[in-house]
Amino acid sequence: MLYKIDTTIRQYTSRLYRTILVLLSAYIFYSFNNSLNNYVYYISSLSYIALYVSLYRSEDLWTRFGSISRIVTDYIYIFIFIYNKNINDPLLLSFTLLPIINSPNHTGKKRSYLIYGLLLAALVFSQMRFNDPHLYLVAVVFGILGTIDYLRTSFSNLLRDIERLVYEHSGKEIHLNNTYEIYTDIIDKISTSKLDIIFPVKNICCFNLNKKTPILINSSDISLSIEILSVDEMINTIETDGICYNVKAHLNKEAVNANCVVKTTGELIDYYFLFIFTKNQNKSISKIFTTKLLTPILERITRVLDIEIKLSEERDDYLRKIKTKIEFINRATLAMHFLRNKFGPIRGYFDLERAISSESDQEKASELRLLSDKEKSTAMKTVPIILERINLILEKGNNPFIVAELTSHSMAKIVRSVKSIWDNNFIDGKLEINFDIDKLRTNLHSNINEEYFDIVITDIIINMTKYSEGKNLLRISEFRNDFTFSFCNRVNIDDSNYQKLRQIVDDFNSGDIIEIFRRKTFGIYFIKTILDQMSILSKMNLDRDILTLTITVKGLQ
Amino acid sequence: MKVLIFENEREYCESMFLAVDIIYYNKSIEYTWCNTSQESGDITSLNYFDIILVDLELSPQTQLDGYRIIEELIKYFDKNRIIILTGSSRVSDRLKEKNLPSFKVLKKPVSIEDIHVKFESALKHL
Repeated sequence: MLYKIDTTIRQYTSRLYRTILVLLSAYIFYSFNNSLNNYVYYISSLSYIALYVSLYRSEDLWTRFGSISRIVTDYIYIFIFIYNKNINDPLLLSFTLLPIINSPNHTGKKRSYLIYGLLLAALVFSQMRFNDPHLYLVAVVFGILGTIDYLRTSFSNLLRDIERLVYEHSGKEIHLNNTYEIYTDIIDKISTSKLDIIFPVKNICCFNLNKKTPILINSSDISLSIEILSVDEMINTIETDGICYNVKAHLNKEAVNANCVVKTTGELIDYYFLFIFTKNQNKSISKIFTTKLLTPILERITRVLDIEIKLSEERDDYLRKIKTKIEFINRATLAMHFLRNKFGPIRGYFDLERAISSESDQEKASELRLLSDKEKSTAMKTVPIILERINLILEKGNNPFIVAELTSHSMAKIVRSVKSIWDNNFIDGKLEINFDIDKLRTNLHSNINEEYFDIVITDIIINMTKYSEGKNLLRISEFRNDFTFSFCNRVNIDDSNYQKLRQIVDDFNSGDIIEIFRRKTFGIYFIKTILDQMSILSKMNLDRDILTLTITVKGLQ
Repeated sequence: MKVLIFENEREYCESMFLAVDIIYYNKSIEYTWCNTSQESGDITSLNYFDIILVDLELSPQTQLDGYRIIEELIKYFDKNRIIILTGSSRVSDRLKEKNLPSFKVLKKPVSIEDIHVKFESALKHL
């Protein structure tokens, strides 16, 4: 984004510069004696204006015309107007130097060193001073300046590109462990640039030290193990010099001695970046590059790595929480299998009694009676076992789906949370506010379990999206500090499902949890159970084809 | 009729099988119960049984679990005379996952009537 803003500003500055160039050329034409025919000046001006008007209209044409072509046309234009005029005049001198002054604004990637050559050519040819020995000195000076400038802009463009890569990467959805992609991009950029001469990097690794043992975080190439043989020396050198060269290191059990290591400080840990080179390089030059120029980029990468670590910790925390729930479900499932078997004798007893009553053969009946008595005895033994297992599952402490902890949350936060979930799911859903916003600026709060509250609201809204026929409305109202959220939805009503929906509404409002469960409306059961545990009143209403679920959160001062 | 039953919780269903024998087969069924796969001996030599029932959730001590027993059995035994004993409702999915064909299924807890129907269906293939 910053890159696009910068490019846009440069484009507008470019138009301003060329406008100044044309206006100045007109002034010069009228103020000075001109050696060429007037028509030359008229045609040059009109051609120049026409060229740039068409270039500004088409970005594609602008790019294809190229920065070098633009500099050349600028100097041809300038040359025509300064031809055979006294360059000592400050106006003419400034006019000649305008492209140099504008060069920082150049929209081309590199400020071309050609600009110095063209300036020199414009001066020489306009003044016809081909034999002036001072020109050679000027040419040498321009050559040196141009070369320095060329290298400087090359490096700064490279660093800008690398910075943009990091910026774009951090703007993407951050997944765990994909930061190594930035290293690969950096290596590609460097290896295809002039910088490869002083910084021939082939692999970048990131590690941290845990009690002086290196722990590999990621790397551009597949790396499974890292060893640093001289950790103390490396740490001390980095503390004093900012960089340590040729650290004795092994990567994947192979020695990688042509390297350097720099350190950055993250929020949680320190990161060490190991750059592995294809060959030894000039330490003085690469030190300047690494410590002064590359380190700020590494610090940006460090922030991305910090985010990755935090995400990883959150994921682990989430998995730990969910593990207990999964374990509970597994235990409950196993319990169901167990119970199914244990019900065998109970069912068997009644089955046998029925068989006995319908058996006309007395001998068979008495044999069946023996079996029935045995089954009854077994059934009586299994009933306590069944009850014990059921109690274990239903025991509150064992059930992670029981809302154990309620904490105070501001009503403003609760309202924001509901609205946010609503907005995420119903882009064109209507929102009706029937309360004074100032109420949310007070200390009004409620005791809820944030996690379960969000789950229930999400569940309600997701079910609405599934069955919605439109007319989605969230109405938020307040009465005596209690906030009511009404989720309204049009549903498809026909003869077959009207009765079913009616029953669901009646069961929900009756508060008969057992009945809801019995009818296997588990979603409603879940919502009702959780809301009841948080003392949040809830009711449903079916008015023709509009189904409304209303919850009331009690406000406390 | 000879019936082999791989079932490690015999006491919870045996009465039902005995009742079927009394009511429908005049006590002509000879039941053999195996807690584990190794109790049955060589699986390839079970052809002399008319019907084999296999509980998919056998004792942890079994060398072959219910699915493995079935895999071995179908090499030598007519699958139409094999009945699966299970409490799971997902048994057909599980069989598909293990590339096993479909079988007759007796859902636990078993009833006298269910056993009779499955036996009659299996006996048609004798």
